[in-house]
Amino acid sequence: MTLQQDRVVRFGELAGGDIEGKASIEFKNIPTDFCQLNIHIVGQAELQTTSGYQSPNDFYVDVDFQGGGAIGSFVTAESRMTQGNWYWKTYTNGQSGFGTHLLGICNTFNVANWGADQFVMRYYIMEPGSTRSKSVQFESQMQSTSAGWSTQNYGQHRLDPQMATMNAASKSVFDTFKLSLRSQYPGDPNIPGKYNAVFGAGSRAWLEGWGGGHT
Amino acid sequence: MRQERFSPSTNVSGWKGRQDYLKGYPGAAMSDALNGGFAGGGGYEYEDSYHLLSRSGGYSGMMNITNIPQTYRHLMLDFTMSQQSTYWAGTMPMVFNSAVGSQSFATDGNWDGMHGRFWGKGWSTGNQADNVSARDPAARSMGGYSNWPNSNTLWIYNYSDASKSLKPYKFRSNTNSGNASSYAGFMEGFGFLLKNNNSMGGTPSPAINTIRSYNNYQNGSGSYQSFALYGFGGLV
Repeated sequence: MTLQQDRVVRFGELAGGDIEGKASIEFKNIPTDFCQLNIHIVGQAELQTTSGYQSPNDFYVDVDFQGGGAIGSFVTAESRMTQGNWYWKTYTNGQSGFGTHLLGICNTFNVANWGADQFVMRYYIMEPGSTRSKSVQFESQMQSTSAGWSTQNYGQHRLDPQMATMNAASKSVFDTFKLSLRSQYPGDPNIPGKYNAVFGAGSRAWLEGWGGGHT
Repeated sequence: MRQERFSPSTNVSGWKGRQDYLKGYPGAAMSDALNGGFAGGGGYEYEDSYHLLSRSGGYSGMMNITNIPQTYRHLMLDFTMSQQSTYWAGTMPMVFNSAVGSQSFATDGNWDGMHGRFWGKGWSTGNQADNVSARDPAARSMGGYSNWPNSNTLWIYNYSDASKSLKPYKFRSNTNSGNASSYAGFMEGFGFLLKNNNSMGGTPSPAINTIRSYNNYQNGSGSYQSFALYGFGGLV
């Protein structure tokens, strides 16, 4: 099955035990000769606690590429609509070695009450195999159990050998992607108010390549 | 030296799926790859995506897509939509598994409908946003007037899986009136489908086999309305 330039392919799906109950997922050695690489994630959010204390938390996403600081740093820019506001709020922050954005507000605790706090994420990058300067775009949407808790995000993670240096070419192809979930108050779930953020039941992540033979 | 063994991510276009997959992983067995040794899950075996399930070169009245094949995990629907009555291009609900001419979800006991939010902004129509729950659909389209351009995309995830409570959707929609009026607008939204509204019990929502639109005029022209429905993200 030779990959032709006119194909769109799906591969590398994580489902079931490969993602449910886990705080992070990772793809390594991703083929890079696509014109565009998409990373899709659809899932439910869960806050794990064994303390019996339950309080809704902001749910964050941390991503790193190529093992974090190995090839440099990332600038994260984020635009956000959330919690009933019709307007956009714009956030920009510099992060070294990883990129972070808010996913939404989670209100689901433990396995016993699955069912809500659903989200969709898409990351995409053009020409992941090139040595040209690259940025990873993302969009995410999350709707919580509570009606007013809706969040949509759009933004970029820039892959540079030198943070915020203009016209700097990337030294590496893009073939490693790690995404972790984090609650507003992470830590030991045995301690009241501390939560582990994990992927809930039915969560699924997969890769999608558009075109082939592209460098 | 085989270049791809030492730089496995640089060129995969000549590989032949499973047969050549391990070229990137010297000394590894395919069973390791398929058991999560590399990706943390399934191996990198390519499967074609975005299969065209149905299309219409022109439909009249409201959109009415029935008997959607239950063969793919996710759906993507591209469409244009309009009415022939008024400059006031408005929002048009998108409903699933409902009866013809209904702007709310069926009361068949299979679900309570959606739980979500949409945001919109128009040049003259201003801002609009709403949280929607129960049987009132939060998935909308931004319909146009006659031949004014408009564009809509709706994604539904896990549409074919009646065993999952995870069934989110999102949409993006815009319409433009050129210099004929000032009713250009943009809208987007996200939510999920539930059997039990506001319930966290995880009761699965039904598979989706019908997508219909609703508007008060119901007189869209086949000259200006069309759709293309795709399955993506893998076969079930």
